[in-house]
Amino acid sequence: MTLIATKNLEKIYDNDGVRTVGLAQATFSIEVGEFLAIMGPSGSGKSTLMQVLGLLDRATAGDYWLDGKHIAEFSDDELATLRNKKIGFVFQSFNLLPKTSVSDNVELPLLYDNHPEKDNRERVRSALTAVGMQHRANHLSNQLSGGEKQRVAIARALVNDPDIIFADEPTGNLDSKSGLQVMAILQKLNDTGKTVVLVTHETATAEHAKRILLMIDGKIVSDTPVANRKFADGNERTLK
Amino acid sequence: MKLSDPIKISYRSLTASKTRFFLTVLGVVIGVSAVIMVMSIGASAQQLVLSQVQKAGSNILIILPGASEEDGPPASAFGIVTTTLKNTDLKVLRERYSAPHLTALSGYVTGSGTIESSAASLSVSVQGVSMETADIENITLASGRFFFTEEETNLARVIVLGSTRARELFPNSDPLGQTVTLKDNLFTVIGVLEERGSSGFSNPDTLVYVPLLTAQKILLGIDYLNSIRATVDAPENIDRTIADITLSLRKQHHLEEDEESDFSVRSTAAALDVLTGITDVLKYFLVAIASISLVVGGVGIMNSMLISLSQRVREIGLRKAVGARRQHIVFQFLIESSFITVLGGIIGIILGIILTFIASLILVRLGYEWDFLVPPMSLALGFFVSVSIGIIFGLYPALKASKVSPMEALRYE
Ligand SMILES: Nc1ncnc2c1ncn2[C@@H]1O[C@H](COP(=O)(O)OP(=O)(O)OP(=O)(O)O)[C@@H](O)[C@H]1O
Ligand SMILES: [Mg+2]
Repeated sequence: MTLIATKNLEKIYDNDGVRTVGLAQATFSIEVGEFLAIMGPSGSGKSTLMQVLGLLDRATAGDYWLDGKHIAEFSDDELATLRNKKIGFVFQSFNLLPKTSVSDNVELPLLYDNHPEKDNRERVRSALTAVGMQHRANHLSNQLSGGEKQRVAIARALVNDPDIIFADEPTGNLDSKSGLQVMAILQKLNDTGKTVVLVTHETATAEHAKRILLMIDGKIVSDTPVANRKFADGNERTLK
Repeated sequence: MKLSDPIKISYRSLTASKTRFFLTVLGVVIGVSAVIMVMSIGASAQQLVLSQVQKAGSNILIILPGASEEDGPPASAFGIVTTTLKNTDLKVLRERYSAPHLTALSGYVTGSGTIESSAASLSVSVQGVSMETADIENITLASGRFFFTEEETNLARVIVLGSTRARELFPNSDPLGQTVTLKDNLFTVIGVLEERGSSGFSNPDTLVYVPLLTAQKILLGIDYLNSIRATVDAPENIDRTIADITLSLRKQHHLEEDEESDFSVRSTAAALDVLTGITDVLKYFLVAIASISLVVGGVGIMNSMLISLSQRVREIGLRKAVGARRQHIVFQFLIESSFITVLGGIIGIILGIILTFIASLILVRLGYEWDFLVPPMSLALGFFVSVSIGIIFGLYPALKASKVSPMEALRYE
């Protein structure tokens, strides 16, 4: 089943007449359950593509269907609701609320949805358990290490049970051991059926995905499956 | 979104930024309490000035020697001695038919000298007055009596002491019937005034009174009056009586039609008008100061609200990324800034009233007849201006972030 489809998707930044091409003529699709890595050198448009796909920013031309919906027709508030229900984000710089407890940080998306509030506690607990951070629930976000922060951020991305998780350089600020932990969690989530889109400029990280899009100067130059997929938890698995 | 969520969101946001919270509340408190203090103290000061004049009596006319401009002070007010007002003028006015609405009339001369008793020697201000001064100035005696008419005409050496002077001259005994020396003349004390406190421009407690003629002939050696004071039976007759007095004194002074009067007649009602004008100016001045304190307080509020603008805009970017709609964000910032400013406003009102009260206690301690009053206008002005500034600047990050995509808000610097 197709989750994401784009046709000639384009993003041009216009800062006071200075035009920069962030994304040019992107046409591709992502199926449910995929683990896609977007690769490319710095400035090639990886983050731009991820932000447009993640509904954080609008394309300036072209078409984008998410789950069959034509995104250009949605209002900003409707996009907010879509992000809340269907999408989870993991950022390179974590973006946790400072001086706020781990569980309050993870609960954040639930404060903007329609679920009954009494479920929140249980959802936060299971999201923290999924990333192995349940023992830190009451710590403040600034008392955590970088790897722990990123795991909390992943729990926050999970807590609304989204269809797809976008992660922009999630291991960029981490040492290799913490980075591997994060990749293991993303792979585990993918195993449970979540679609994962990962942005990275490291081939070694990208090889944890099932498929790699390579970008240069805003254009997608290649789209290849990963032949020798790596598994961060050390256990070889057969591709599903 | 449940009803409790915006409150939960705002509560968490406030508790996560205690410094900003504290500084903003402080800004509001300072703004509100400064306005209340300035305006309250201004109102009390005006009240004080006006009540001092009213205490002097508002039906009183003062006749001063020398010509004067309509609104300007007469020459005698600058210490220039003018001798155009004589005892005969007093006599003419006493023949009531010339000014039928006069009820009491008294000539005044003022001098100073050393007064001595067995216990003390002081330099004092001496007032030579007619017996009717007691009525005109509402003087009441603690003991003894004021002058008799005969004592005025036969140069009696009798004296009435202000309460402070009586205490100083006779610390351990009853002054009545005792003698004091004033400018080498022996005077018998016949009365002591009740304590009165200062009223406007003079303090009767520190004066001593002797009969008018006695003062002129024996103490000062003059034949003119420094002033005449008179009371009018009703306020509506003041203008008419001023005209009556002017007419009869001009006749008495043999002034031609085109000659300027060599005296001036003033009413304390007019003085009251002038003073009200002055205190109104004072009030506008204080309103200006209050506005400055509001601006200063406002800048403080604004500053603390914007301390972490970029951090807040990024926070909004994150909230939007995880699904907050525009209204969620506006609501959160509205609740936060309303809570902060209303809390600060209430503390500011309480603090402003307390500080005003302390100031009035100190002023009363210093001897002013100061009333503690807080104009409701000052509460309203201080509160609403500060609260509005707080809410406007509290909403500012939300407005700023609402103009850009979540992505741009997230990378705002
Ligand atoms: N807000 C913006 N305004 C103007 N130009 C932008 C903006 N964001 C990105 N760009 C430009 O768009 C191009 C793609 O940027 P993008 O951030 O997507 O690259 P990237 O592949 O994520 O790079 P990196 O690996 O360094 O994160 C770059 O040339 C960049 O300068
Ligand atoms: Mg990037």
